[in-house]
Amino acid sequence: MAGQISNFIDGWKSMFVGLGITIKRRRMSKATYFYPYEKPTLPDRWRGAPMLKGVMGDGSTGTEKFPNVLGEFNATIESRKKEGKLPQCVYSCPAHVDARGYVELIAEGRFKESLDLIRERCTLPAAIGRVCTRPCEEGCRRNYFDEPISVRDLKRFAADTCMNMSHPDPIPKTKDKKIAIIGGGPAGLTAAQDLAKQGYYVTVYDKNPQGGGTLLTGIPKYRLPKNVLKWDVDAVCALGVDLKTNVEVGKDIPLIKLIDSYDAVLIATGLPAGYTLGIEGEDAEGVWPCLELLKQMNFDNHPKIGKKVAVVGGGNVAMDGARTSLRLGAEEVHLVYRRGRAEMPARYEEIHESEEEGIIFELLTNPTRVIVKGGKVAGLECVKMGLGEPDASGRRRPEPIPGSEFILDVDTVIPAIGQKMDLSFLEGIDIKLSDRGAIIYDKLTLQTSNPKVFTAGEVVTGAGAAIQAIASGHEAAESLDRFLRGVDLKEGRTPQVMPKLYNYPRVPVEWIEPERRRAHMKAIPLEKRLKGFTEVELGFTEEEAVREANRCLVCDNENCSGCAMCARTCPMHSIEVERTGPQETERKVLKYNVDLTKCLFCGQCAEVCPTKALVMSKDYENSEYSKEKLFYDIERVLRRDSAKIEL
Amino acid sequence: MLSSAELLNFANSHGIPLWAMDAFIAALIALGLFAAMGLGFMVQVYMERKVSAGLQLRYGPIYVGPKGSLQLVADALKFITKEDVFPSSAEPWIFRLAPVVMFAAAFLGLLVLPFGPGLVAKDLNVGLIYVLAIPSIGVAGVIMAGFGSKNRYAILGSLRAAAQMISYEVPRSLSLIGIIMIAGTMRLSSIVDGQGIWYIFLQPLGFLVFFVATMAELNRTPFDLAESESEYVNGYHTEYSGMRFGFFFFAEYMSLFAAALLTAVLFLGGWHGPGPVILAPVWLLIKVFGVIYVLMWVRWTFPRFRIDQVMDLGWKVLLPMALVNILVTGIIMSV
Repeated sequence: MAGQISNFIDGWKSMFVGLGITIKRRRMSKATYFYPYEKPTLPDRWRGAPMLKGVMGDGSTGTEKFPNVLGEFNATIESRKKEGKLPQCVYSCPAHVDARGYVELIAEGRFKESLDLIRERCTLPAAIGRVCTRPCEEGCRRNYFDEPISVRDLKRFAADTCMNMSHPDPIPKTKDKKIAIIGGGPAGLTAAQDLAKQGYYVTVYDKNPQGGGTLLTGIPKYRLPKNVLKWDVDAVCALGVDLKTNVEVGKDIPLIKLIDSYDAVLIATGLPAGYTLGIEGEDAEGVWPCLELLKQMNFDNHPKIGKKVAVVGGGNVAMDGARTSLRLGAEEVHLVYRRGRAEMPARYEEIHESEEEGIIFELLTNPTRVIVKGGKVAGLECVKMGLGEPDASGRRRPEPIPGSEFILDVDTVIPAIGQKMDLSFLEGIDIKLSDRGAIIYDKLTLQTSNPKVFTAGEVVTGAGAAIQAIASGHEAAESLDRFLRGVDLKEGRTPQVMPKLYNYPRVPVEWIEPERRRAHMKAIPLEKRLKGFTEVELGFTEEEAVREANRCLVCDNENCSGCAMCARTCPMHSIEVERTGPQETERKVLKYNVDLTKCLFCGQCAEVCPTKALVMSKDYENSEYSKEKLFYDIERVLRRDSAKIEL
Repeated sequence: MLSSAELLNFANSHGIPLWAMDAFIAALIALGLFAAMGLGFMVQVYMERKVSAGLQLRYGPIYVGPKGSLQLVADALKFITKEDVFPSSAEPWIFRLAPVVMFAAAFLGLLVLPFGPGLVAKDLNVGLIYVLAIPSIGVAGVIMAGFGSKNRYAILGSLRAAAQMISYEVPRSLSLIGIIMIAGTMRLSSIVDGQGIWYIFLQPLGFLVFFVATMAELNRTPFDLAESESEYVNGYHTEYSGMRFGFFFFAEYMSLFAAALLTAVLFLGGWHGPGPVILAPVWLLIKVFGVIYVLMWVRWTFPRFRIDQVMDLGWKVLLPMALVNILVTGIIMSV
């Protein structure tokens, strides 16, 4: 009887549990689709025989180029991104310089056209080709196969090759509006170039004796020779930009006068001042702010520094400061940084080269006091740090270890712990500043609270790479153009497309054939480097450059570039690619054949294809194929001679 | 209703015979009920589709009308325009009359069910007996459908249906004895009036037996043995198509509505609810559709019983429970 009762209770209980289960499903999302919006269960590039959409150089379609069309460029980039036709090198560059386009032009030996294409978006090609942080190479899809293309070095090559050619012709002034740009750095010159091309009167004011901004004052000569930068700036000035050097706005000419006499003003003054350490004894003789040191040295007033130097900081500027000190005659350079090597914000190559040159890294160390004797630096008291919990930036927060103080025996201290704005020239102008002393501006239009005044460059982006400043310069140019034409600043405007950095897994390159590897520029030997300020890297020869440019896979243009990755990937060896030769420069496709008797329709070849030229045709019935879809012969495949590419 | 003096005067003064007046009013009531049932039918079918879809992670109808609410109109057009398939070996009159008998039995049951205070076609003093007895004639329709079709699946399905409906008639009726004992009347409006406390609280065991038996009576899953698709194609209406099937369909949902209404009237306090009297039908309809929802919920949750399990449940579980209920009610009332 008891068993029956418990069975009875269990039965009812299970029924209510069942009812509970079904009622919960009402809140769950549906498992079915609306009919017209049904999604196919197979991915796009899946099933059906593989098919080539086109082959590079067969004359049907050229590679799309992205010239700078003021006001439409962002929209073009965004739509191409949505269509999947934007190569990752272009996407990952903040200014979206058409890396694919100019590398292809170099591969075809058209260096002048290549330089013209670079100049569309990248204002100072020779300088940027030396100092850029090269986000394009991080995005390069070749990372996935072996090593990225040396995009930056090819840019430098294009500029260097054309350096003896004449500058571009001046643009006729078609508009009667005048623009003043304060600051002749990358951002200011970019805006100047864009606006001069539209026919405006553009005047750039710079306080230094030569244009270039931080590229002039902050980058050591061994990385960027000053005549190279001058050539770049001259090319911008040749368009009709009036560059007034040695004029400091606020001192030599008040800002209010500029605002009154010009139709619009762009503030692109950057971050010229350095943060101070904020410790005892900082004002003693022998403490050189890093930016000041670099600036003095770039203007050939070699500052006198001691034999033993401590550089404080872990960024690119600190590396430059340390390496410059070596060249100024220091015998022992310590780099004091409060976090570990992995947390250093400087670029990997910089750290590596600095170490190569013999700089002593004092990691997890923080200066606490400058020891002063007789008004001069006699040492730097430091404390060892331990790493604690990660902070807001994701890096582990350093905490001092009590009792671990020690004294570094140095006679010069170079703080390089960050840069800040110098907005003293804004005094008395009705431009709103935030609590922290930065200019308040519109995020999209870069307009300040004074409608005639705009801002660009590191004032907007914060401390960063020159290419970011260039990107914001283009944005400012669009805003200024709209403002001067009287068009609404925001209407119909596409914001700047923000790049996403790709993080490819490292490929074990030691197993890859040497002819597929990335080319490296030759550099002068180490012992010669430290003696003077000659440029360390020597650039590519023409042969090297063309070979390197030919490594480019010309991604996402739907034309086969002959990389034969599909044939390497195919598990059934059903793809047969005949090329003119095994070298990268001989990648012209002679024959492309898919053996459908072996093909599994797995789609791996289409997945791996960097150009998206190889697609799964979705014709699952074999009878659908025509041979023309699958087979290319030599008459249709002519890469260099018949390519019709127009800018 | 004819006792109303004004109506009698009206008939006398205009020379209308009494039988004509009677027929006219009866026809009016029938039409009104039919229209109401048609509307209820649409709502119920839409609700059934949406509820079953919701419980099965589907969308249900979405294209015809706003959110698919006019799907039944499209279905009705389909039913009407479909070919009326008549099996050559079928018994002509029995086959044709079966849907009518089914429909009529279900429709007649609505005669005594109140929709609100005074809103009842005929408030019989034996309403409870009537409402249990008349819809049971529907069994005859089921048997006629199965027999008339001359189809093995249909006749087996109809025999099962008859066995099941007759078996569950017993515990279903017995479970209501408790209510009759407490209320002291079989007039449905009086039963509603007597429910200061809902009878579901006074008669929980009775409610349980009544509810399960109602499900079996309605031939709904888990008791849909009569039309079990996996066994009998479609049971007794295998051979029916077009509007003839439509009538079975209509009758089925009408009995569902009637059963839900009866449950609400007997156990859930009828039209009682807060607010003015004008809201009484609204309260009743809320309760009715609540009951219908639970019935649908059960239908789309549980699998079908086997025939022997159905018989076991009816005779060995529900019948003793109903008898125990009467005994307990009697003991408590006498004490």
